[in-house]
Amino acid sequence: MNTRNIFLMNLILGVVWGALQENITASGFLTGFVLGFLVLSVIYRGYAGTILGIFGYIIFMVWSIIVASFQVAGYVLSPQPKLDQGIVEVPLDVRSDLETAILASSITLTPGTISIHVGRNQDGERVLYVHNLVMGDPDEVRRTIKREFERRILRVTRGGVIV
Amino acid sequence: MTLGEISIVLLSAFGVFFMLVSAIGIVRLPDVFSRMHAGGKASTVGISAMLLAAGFYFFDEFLFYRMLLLIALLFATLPIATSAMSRAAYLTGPIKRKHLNHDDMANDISRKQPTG
Repeated sequence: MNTRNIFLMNLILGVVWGALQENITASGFLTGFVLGFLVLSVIYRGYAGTILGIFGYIIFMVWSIIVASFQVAGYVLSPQPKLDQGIVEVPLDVRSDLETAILASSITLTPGTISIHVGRNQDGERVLYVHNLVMGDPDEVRRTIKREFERRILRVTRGGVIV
Repeated sequence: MTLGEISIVLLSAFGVFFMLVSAIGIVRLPDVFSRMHAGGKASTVGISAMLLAAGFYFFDEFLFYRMLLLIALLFATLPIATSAMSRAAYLTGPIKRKHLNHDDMANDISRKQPTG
């Protein structure tokens, strides 16, 4: 069974648990979902790691969006905005469409960076073009994106191996 | 004021502040891309904070989950629009080169020979 099927089963367990309560509420569904998650993570090795990884990634995204929003607000409200805009190519280690889409969306969601295009550079590598509001050193930008975003995505999508 | 009311006021103040910043940014910043940064991003945080505040104010379970769902949908769709508009601006629009200090995308070969 792959992770998607197990997750569907987890959702069904939540719905069944919620439907068997006296009143049908969303928190009844949540309780069933959590209980089903506990049971399924005992049965299938690696399922808990994957789901917790996804939650950890969401929390990391929310935190970095909030921090970066304050930085962009600082640039916008400063009397003389000192912008240093530039488009940087980031070589991609992610391969599948889903991973690329998640990476590009995450970069665009974080204020200060927009992913513009997925293309190939002169060496034929698959690269993501990222526009930065305040760039600094291009290599530093590349390292940050690869370390902060790509490594976390790869850890979730390729880390949890399901029996 | 109770703790709940204080958190509602703080959340909506946070939201209004970021929407104001986004509006100011669209007026003040110099070119397409930097305006995209201001308009597309600061407003995401602003809208999410205001939706959360509304969810806390009408303290109803299903309404609160609906707000969370709205925020999730917003976060799923907004970056696609921003990326698409920036890409269109780069490929066709009159971007001001003097604001771009560094441009790796000029070396892109996939636009000349369309492959995946």
